[in-house]
Amino acid sequence: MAGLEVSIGSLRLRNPVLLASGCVGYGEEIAQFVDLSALGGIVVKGLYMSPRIGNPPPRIWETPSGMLNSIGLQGIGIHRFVRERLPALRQGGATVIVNVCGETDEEYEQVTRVCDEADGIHATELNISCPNIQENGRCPGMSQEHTYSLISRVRKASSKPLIVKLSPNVTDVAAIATSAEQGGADAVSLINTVLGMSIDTETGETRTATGMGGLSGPAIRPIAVRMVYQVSHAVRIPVIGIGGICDARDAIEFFMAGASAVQVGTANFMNPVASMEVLAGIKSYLARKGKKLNEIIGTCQIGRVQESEPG
Amino acid sequence: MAHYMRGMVTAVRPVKEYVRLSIKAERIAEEMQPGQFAMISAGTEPLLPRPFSIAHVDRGVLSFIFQDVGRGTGMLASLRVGDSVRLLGPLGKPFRVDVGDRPVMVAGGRGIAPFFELARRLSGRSPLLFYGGRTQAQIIETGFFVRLCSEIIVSTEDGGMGHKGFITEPFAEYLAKSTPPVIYACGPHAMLRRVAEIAGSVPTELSMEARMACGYGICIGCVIPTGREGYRRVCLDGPVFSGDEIRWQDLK
Repeated sequence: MAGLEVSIGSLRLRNPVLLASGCVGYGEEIAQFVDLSALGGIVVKGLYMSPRIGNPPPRIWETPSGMLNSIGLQGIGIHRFVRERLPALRQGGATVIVNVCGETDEEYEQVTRVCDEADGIHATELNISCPNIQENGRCPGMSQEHTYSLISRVRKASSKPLIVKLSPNVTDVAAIATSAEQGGADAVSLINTVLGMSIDTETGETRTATGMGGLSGPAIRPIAVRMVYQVSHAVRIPVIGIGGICDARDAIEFFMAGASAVQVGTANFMNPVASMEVLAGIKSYLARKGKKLNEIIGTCQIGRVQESEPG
Repeated sequence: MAHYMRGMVTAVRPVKEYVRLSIKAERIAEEMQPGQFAMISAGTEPLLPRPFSIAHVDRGVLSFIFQDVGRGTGMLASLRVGDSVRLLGPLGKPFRVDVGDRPVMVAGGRGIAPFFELARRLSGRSPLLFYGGRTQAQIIETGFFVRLCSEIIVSTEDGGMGHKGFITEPFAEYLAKSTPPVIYACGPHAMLRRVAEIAGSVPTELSMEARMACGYGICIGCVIPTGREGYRRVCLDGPVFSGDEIRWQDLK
């Protein structure tokens, strides 16, 4: 459909609705409900070089309008993904983006290299929120310097579009985004989960086995919209909005804040066809307003009071 | 093949300590196999749907048995006839039903749920039911099983109904003198662990429970520790597991 395409570096997405990493595995289960080729793309669950067993249960806890998770990046490793899971995604016509993880900068580079060489992987999304073993568990995405040096290094390992997924657990997300852009990112996506914790007051134990967890869902949407707004004013590269998107109106909020595309994550847990509903709703909104997607991006006005439409 | 669909509530009624919720959802009812479950949600708060074993299937209507213990179950217990809910199902690996004569089912409390349909499928095989609860208020619909099972052994922890104590005690006595082709069990983890120990080399089909977000394999939130493949998803790799697959010492 005309007017819905989005460019991320050299990659042309069919439309601006993607499935978010960590919320759709490697796509095979959700493909029962969703035609992946009809979406803008799928960002598969974060992958390291080697398989990871993940964290012990309990791993999830529902919170007001959201959920905490502490999955621990359980995964099959990039090689098994390319061998065993990528073929089905290719056959289904999906635009595949791999979320790249690393315990060291070297590992990020290695995984990116594998992605660069694999046919059927269209782009990578660098998860700079992974605990780094050379930095006492600090994530690269917590400092401008580390973000810049990591992305500069990874940039040289791949000719495919490189998206950098930003963490909200920082003081100045726009500064990190700027470092990502300077390092050579083609786009930034945000936000990853917000660190949180919940405690069972009967037992005194935390609700997830590892103590902290990542908060996702509608509860974090206003934080995400605010950060997308800030980042889109700080960088020239496209911004992909993520955070509690459940319907088209939520997605349009992100476009107006400055996002060129969006990812649907936790909503897939409540509704397997949420992404299709978001896409259909965007189309009808644009038709109703007589506008193209790029005509609403970044159009939000600060300080102008308007009456909202009924309903 | 799971269906994501709307269903209409046809009945909500208390059954002793539990609630029985019936929902018309023909496509799920047609395809459901014993041991499978469905995710149910009735609004946007709570956010996540809740998983329940499918207990009865009757002319396109699914029935679920649950306890009103929290936000999700409270919301479902307050539904009224005619209300619309969203369902995803049937989900999960079912019980195997191609078994020999006199298979055994062991249920603890609301763990009775998946055995209604299982008993129906096994009725030609003279199944036995061991059914335990804390009090008689947790022992429900025994009349249904009387028609389908060759024997029913009931226990309550307070002795208010049947044997006084845990159901694993009469179950262990039975296993000491008989070798069933398979043991099915559903209930608290402590009971399932004890069943697996008592079973020894008899094959077990244990229906596990875990907190879930999605119910269809994508969040990897509902895992349990298993020997062969590490953490496995209760929703998709289970909920039915063989007792010897589970690393009980690592299960909370």
